[in-house]
Amino acid sequence: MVELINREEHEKLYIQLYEILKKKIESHEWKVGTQIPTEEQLCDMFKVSRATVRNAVLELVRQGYLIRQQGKGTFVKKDYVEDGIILCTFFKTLWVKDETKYKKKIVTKTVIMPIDNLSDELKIAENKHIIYTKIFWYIENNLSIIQESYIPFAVCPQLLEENLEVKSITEILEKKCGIKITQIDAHLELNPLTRELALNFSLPEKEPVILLTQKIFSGDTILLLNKFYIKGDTDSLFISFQRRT
Amino acid sequence: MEEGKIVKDIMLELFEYPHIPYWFSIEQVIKVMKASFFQTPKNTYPLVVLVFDEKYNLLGTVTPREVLKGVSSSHNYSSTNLKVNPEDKIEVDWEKVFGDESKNLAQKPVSEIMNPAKHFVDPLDPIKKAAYLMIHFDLPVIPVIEDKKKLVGVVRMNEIFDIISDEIIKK
Repeated sequence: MVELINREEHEKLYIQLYEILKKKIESHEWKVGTQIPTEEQLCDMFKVSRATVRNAVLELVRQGYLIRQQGKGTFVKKDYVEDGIILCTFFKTLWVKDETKYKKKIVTKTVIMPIDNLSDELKIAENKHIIYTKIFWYIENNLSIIQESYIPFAVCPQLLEENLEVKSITEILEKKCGIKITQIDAHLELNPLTRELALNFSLPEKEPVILLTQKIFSGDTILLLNKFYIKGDTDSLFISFQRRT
Repeated sequence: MEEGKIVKDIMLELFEYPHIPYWFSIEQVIKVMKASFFQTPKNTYPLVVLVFDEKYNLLGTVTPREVLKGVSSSHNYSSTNLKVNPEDKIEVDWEKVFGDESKNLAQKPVSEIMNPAKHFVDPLDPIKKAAYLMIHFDLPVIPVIEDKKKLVGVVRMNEIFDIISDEIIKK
């Protein structure tokens, strides 16, 4: 059965098409290893442009559902399950088991211009303003995590007026600015402390701490870059994944 | 003279100008100025960068003039003491004014070189008050503060000059 695209919905057409095609793979309507219809056929089936089809298919390739073979076509990937079970997680700001143990203090909320490699990281021009925040997270009066966040000003100008003590940045982006978060990339590394952060933590300069970097997207737009410097002596990092039902 | 032109009528948006925090180094300000003023087709005269604190309160302004003054060599030719007249018989090595020392001086925080923001106007003030303050305190722009606390914009000389000069030549 051909599912129809709802043109009333604000969601981008290619995201809708992506979801429809993904269902076909997950429900085995499109069997593992078989070739999927050509771009032209998909355009006809769903009455959408070639660009929409291409974006949806590319995303499925990126997510590991499909594989493109030069000169042959696009196929349902044989072992997408064995490659990695697709699981999801509830996104919480801090990657800890119990966020309620932490007390936060907003130490900085101001506006800066992109320096160093920030314009590349956020994919914005070098003359665009960025909202910069620095938040201290305490456990029992011990500074445990320092969070630095960078949000392109154009993404959510209201953020400057909001009280970050009571709401998280992601909550404000979704609820106040009506922006839907579609993807979060994260990576962890050991990072030597800069002089300023070392002073904040009362640790020696260059002492390595865990750095968790999160990049939060809506489609191709980067909404927010979070850097968490984690001392790691009071709590461990925790994240739980569940299979989607 | 025409009555009633107030600051609100000619105020510019804050985001017309680059923003930086006071802890940025002069070198970082230089990079911001290059990106915002010289490597972009659109920039707003005058070339001024607004300096803020942690709570987004305006602390001051910097223009290319403060930057160059901040990195000019301080020991032989103090930027404040050096006054060279063409008649003076002083030999000046101009290369040294912005020499090797400038690179080190560029590591200073911008808070040491900025023009502190001391004078403000209200959106309802007459533009002539803004003009007076800008002339007498040599300000590149004057911040506009609403209800004595909220920064809402800035006023520059372009619009002030345009309006006041019109009135003068009309007489």
